[in-house]
Amino acid sequence: MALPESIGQFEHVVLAAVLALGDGAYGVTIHTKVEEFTSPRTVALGAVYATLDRLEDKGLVTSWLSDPTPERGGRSKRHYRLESSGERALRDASVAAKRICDDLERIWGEDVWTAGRRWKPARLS
Amino acid sequence: MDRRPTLETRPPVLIDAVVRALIPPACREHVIGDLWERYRSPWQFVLDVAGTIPFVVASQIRRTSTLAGVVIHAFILFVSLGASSKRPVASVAALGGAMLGFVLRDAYKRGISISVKQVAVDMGFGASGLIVSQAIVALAQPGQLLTPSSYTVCAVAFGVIFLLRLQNPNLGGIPRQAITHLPVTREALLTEVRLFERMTRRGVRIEAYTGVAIAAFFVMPLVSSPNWALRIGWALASAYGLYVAVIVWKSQTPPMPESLGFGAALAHYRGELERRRRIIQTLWRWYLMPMVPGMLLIMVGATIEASKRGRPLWPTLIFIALMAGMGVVIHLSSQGWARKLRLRIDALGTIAQ
Repeated sequence: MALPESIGQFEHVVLAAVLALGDGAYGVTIHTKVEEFTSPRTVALGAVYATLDRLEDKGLVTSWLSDPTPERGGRSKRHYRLESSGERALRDASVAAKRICDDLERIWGEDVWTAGRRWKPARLS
Repeated sequence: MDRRPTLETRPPVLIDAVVRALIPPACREHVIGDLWERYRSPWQFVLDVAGTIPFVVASQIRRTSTLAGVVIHAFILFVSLGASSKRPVASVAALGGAMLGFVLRDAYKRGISISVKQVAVDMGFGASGLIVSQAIVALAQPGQLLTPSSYTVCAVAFGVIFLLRLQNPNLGGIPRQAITHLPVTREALLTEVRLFERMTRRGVRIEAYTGVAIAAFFVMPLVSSPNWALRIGWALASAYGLYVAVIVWKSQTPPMPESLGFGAALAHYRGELERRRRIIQTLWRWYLMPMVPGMLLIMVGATIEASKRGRPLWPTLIFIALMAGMGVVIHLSSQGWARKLRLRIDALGTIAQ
């Protein structure tokens, strides 16, 4: 069986955003969701488009233009949906991330996720 | 928060027009729509645009230009400019300008260039890039401009690129949508098949005529060669031109009969695509390898002559390295193209199923 397409960290975030948004996934909403995931870091809107193009070229997402809407100056939205290969790639990347998170939690303790800016790196001797 | 723009909260017309011109047509519709939806103030709009345009242009360039296409264009221009000019600044600027013109043209045009007129416009963009580069050089270092003879050699290089683009419109890459889009009616399928036949026929003709022209052109150095290695090398190179012309001519796609129904037409088309895929996949065997003996003997002959006249050997070595590099690029590009054809054949197979 062929290995699923490998994805980078930002592609992982964008795929997760597309999955989370379901039918409402288009440029603006995906960007908002991605910034929610990467908070407090901000992300350029263009970076999201470039990643969506790449994911589409890899066959992980598909896109289509919706009907024009007046609040956008009569322009269409490009909607995105995960393909089954995209879901597989997202799952594989998430499983790997989960393993990393589990190990980090074991080393740093559970409060690593809730400490926020109070968290300080431990100095290993 | 409601971000929908009202009549009062829409981007300034001038800024909007500039933005529209800067965004490639392939993504203009939805990107501008998204930018309008996010509009709050002119300053925020400009910042949003600044964080969007570089990415969408870069992404479009990635989609419309392949590494192989860029390398082949650059190689043709490099050989012509490098061989004709003693002014490196002007040559590098001309090469960069022309390449930028070609790459941006590919990113900003709709679809691929199929007709002679469209390819001529592509060449116009490349030439404009070259002229702009020389205008900049004229301002910075007026003594370093390209010489009139360089422009003559450049015109030959542009002629070669013109033929190359006509022969292979997909040099810039095949978009994913073109692979996965399926013709659902017999008319749509026939349109695609006729376009494929037309492009293949034209590509075969250009390739075959070029092979014959190369065979004839190489007779000149063959006659005037000062040593045996060069004579045999040029003779083999000339024979290679004829050999490629014959092989390519034989690989022509026969026209599909008009009377075929949808299923039969689809089967015929998939068969022809498969035949073309095999030809492209084995390019290294019938196109690249037969070139090697002639080229090697020409290099040996050139090295003998260089040592006789006390000239340095490094230009010959650089040329060998460049030719080998080009061979690798053509091979990798053909393998990528064959893979994309495989995907297209498989996609068409889903209709058959």
